[in-house]
Amino acid sequence: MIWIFVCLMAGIAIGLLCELNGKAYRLAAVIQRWAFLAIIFVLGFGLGQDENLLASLGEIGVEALTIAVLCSFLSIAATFAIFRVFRKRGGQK
Amino acid sequence: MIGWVFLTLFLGLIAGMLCRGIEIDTSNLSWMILCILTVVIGVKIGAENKKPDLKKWLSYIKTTVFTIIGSFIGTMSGGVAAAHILNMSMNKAMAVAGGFGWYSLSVIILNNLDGAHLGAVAFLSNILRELMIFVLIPLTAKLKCVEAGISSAGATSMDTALPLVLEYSGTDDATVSFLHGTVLTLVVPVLVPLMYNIF
Repeated sequence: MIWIFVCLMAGIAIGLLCELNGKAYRLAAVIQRWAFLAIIFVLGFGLGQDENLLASLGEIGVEALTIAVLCSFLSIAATFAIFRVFRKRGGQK
Repeated sequence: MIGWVFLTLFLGLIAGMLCRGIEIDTSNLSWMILCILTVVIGVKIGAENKKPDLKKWLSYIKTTVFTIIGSFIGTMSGGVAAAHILNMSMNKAMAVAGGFGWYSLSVIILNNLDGAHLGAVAFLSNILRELMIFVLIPLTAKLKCVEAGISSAGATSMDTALPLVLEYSGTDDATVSFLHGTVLTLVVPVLVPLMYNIF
């Protein structure tokens, strides 16, 4: 986790100190997109290599999926509700 | 873009299945790519905040607090609902939910506390939660409330979800995503054993 902070702070320092032109922004966008797809590929690769995980899908899959779906969707619902009230009151975007 | 995301994930899955004999440290590899990506995100944040804007940062903090509250309420209600639906004991369901998508840590904690079965459920459940963000963040960004997608990502909003938020929403929401993930990452190591022991 500390390395994520270090990298973020290093990036912020570069962004603050350097004048970025259009070319630099385009390069950043290219790096961002390819790095993003590379992370997803590596994530899929790791899952594909994990034989035990794929084998246990049938046995524990229903429990795991139920918890994951409920937590994700209820988080979305709760945050939607909070921001609806917050934005109505504050008149934000 | 979402099509590319799933195609890449699928190709990675197939490549992983075909390369089972070969030892590749995927966690180290993704960590290195993530570091490069975080530098790029930092550069963008720095370039867009050359003049310190206190009002803007207060708004980030306010949004982050609301997102964390939403994430917490939703995840805990998810744990309660799952315990009832699955006929599972409340403490186990809440402890699995309390992982907030951080599968590598929750599996270690729950393996030690309860055993291999709950550890495996926590691992798979938190991986599935992480995978779902590839659909949920673009969807919530379309609905003009990407904060809801950030809350569903849980602790992974500071790493895996960060490029997604940046891609679909922008630097402001990426900053909120990072702050949200950081707070939850600090909370998870305490929350998982706490949920297991108090319910």
